Amino acid sequence: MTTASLYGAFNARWLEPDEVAKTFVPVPEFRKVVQTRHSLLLGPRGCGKTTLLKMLTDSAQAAWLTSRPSEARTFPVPNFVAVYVPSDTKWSFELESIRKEVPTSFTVAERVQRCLVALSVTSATMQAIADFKLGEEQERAFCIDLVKALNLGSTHPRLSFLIAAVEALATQVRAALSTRDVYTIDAVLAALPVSVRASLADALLFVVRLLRPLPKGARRRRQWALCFDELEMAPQWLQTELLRDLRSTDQRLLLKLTWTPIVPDFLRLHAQPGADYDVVRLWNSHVPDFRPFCRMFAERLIKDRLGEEAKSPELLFGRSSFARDEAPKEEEDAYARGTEVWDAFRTQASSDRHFATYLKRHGVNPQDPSSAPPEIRDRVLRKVKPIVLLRDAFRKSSGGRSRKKRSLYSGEDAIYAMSDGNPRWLAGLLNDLLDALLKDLQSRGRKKFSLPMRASLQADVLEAASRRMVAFIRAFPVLQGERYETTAGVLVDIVDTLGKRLEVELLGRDFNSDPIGGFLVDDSLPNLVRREIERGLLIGALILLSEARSGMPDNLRGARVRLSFMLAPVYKLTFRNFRAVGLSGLLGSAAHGQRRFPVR
Amino acid sequence: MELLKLETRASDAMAVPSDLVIAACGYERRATAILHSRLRASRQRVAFAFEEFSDSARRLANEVSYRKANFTLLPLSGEDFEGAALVFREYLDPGYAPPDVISVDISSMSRVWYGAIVKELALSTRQADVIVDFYYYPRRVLRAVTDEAPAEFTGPVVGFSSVSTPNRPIALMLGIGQDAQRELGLQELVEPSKTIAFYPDRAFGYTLDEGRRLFPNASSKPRPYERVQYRLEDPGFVFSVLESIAHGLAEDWRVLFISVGPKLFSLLGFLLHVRRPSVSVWRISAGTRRVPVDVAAATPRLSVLRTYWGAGVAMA
Repeated sequence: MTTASLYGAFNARWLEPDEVAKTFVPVPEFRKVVQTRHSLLLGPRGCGKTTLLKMLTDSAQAAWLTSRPSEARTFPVPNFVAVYVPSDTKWSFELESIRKEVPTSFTVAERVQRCLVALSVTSATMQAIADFKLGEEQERAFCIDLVKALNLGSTHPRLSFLIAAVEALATQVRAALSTRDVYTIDAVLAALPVSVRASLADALLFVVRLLRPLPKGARRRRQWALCFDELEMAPQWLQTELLRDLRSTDQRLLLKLTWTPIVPDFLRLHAQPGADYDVVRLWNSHVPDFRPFCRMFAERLIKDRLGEEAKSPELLFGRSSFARDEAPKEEEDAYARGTEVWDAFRTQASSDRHFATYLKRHGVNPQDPSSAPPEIRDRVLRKVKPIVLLRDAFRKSSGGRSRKKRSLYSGEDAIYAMSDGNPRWLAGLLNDLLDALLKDLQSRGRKKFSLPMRASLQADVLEAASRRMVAFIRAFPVLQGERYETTAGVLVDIVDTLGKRLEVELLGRDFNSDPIGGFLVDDSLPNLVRREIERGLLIGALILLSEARSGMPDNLRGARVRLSFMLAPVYKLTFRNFRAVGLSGLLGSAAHGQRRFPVR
Repeated sequence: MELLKLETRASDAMAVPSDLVIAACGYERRATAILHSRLRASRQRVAFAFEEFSDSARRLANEVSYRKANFTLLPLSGEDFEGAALVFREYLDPGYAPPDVISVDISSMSRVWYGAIVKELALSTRQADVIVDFYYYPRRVLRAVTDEAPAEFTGPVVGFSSVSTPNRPIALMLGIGQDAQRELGLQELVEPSKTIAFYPDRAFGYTLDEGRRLFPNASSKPRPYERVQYRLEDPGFVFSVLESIAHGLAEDWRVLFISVGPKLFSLLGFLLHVRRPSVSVWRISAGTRRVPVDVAAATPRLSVLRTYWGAGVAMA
């Protein structure tokens, strides 16, 4: 399914289980999610949380086993029945807005939210049971019990009819809500089955309890997993209820919940990671960590799009000297005489005496960097390579570099780096690149494309994606109910301030071998700004930097963050994590300054 | 009340007397366009006066003009749905001599205000039918105006949310305007699986190369994205098109309506929700962070949408 949204081009939410299984690139974290334990999946939007939750369902597992059995068999099978409860931004924002529909009673508003979510859980549970393909008699007996228990009147005893009847109950609630009359709403809520007025766990278990005897597919599995997507965007009472249940809930119930990269303060007080639940970290901070995943993902997507014409990502997009971070003592010499890198080092050394001095100080001949011994290249040249290439492309003193400017952000590794390892973003970028490639081919009247794809065409696509990211950050609303007095307090301004500062660091007059690349969330930052940073982590505008691939991420206080590499073309950034400095110092002056619109 | 019928009226409809005129005293000169037209014999004249930017020179000048024209000024925040609803409720059903014909000039109103008016009409238990004429003076566009301020609010308009269960993908009916950045950002935020972009024709001064602006990467292949051009001077017809499209989408999609275009198009979204509550209407606003822009009315151009409300059965 393609969509108008760049990143939505790959959104597991609306894919059928077999389609999810088809595009699924297994990640090591999936082993943890499959465990018969509560899990909290942490990561920004698009990082694959929905895919992992959906892959727990019986239908996705079956499709995976059928389509790629050798791969599927290397992973454990869930020893529970997964009930996937869908969610999205629209649903989350509209649930939240119910408080404004009933401004005179928060209690009634919360009850409406609870009933609507519980009805959704009830419906999802029925769907999971329908996937067992019960025998006709068993389905009929189960449905008769359910109709009675849920007070669904004369609904025909088939699961599909019951699911429709539950949706009709939700419609009644919505109709009552539209009257904005507390008494009308109250009356409708009071008539609903008791199970959807209690906790969400009750909504699930109430349905499951009536399923006797257990169907063949569920007999050996004694637990049911409530897979609740986008909890991070849900109303606060719902977050509190489900997170509290991580500590203690019905033995038959498992919780698989999603959250932002920062574990909520509330949870720290009530449940212990490792003991009560597993934390599953689903983002990466460093390009080399996510490169293998990206390559496997890209290979599958290209094969899917181009069929027999498919080429490897490296052949199709070419190499990127700028984005590629060579491993120490890598065989191919990126600094060899005549290469793009060698040329850039020489040019910069001749036009920037600070840079020439830097090279000399480290024992490198500015006129022939390739003559440096391998260990010096690894230690000195490798560190500054992207800065030199960036300056070579964008510094005016370099002169006549428009071709380099037009192609710096291109190549296989640049694509991977810009995605930050986020599958939805990576799919969006790849889809747009392939679209551009095919259209270019068509406009030139050719049948076969020449390899690699033109760098300038790639750069156009990647820059457009970067600008859309800025537009997205700007459209993401400030915290509801909060009014900001200072311009610098809002996410898009924070991002813009930091982006421009990094640009100065990298492209300023004097060469700087140790530029700022990250930011410390220090204690003196106002609370509101800290919350904006958290929102930035949620939508992927900011990336939390930490070394550990697993385990509890640090508290936001004292955490290191960086701008998403998706923003690199807009702010002329490299794809490296350089040193971090305190945010309060950087934002402090901006907070008292003038409005700095337009944002780039 | 039900929305019984709606139709486009000729722009000389101002000649028809109305019992109540509601306008907005804002910070753009367009706000006073209605004062220069034939406000014949209207018994009551009310203007919501923006509390925001109340010290701007244009806002103060408009206030003087409104007072001269015998309008009662009611200070309200542009975000105050409840306040606008309450005021309108009192005028709509005052207990004696209720108005039969109401004129509402939405040109300078906030979307929240005229959303509140539409919602009150839909919720009213008033016995007598009422005709409500919505007036819209398009702005004179001298250059594209882009508000770069970040969104202070993005989400459902109070009273117009469907809260539909997320069991189907989203189809976005997007009214586009002058701010391509907002349109792009909205797409990324709500992740629609299908977008239908509506853009006004040039008759009222809107000149947009919307395809390129929405998708700046000109190389992109056509995605599930359709374009519909509409005539701003015929809102009755545009509404019938919108209703037909929403009807067609309802089976397989959750329909989301967002307009960052002309206010008249947003009004059609509110009316669409009244007819089809499954359609959610959202807005995006910079709120107090927006930069007030003074725009003039493109007189003599004027769109008038006549709506009939009552206890009867709605006509298609």
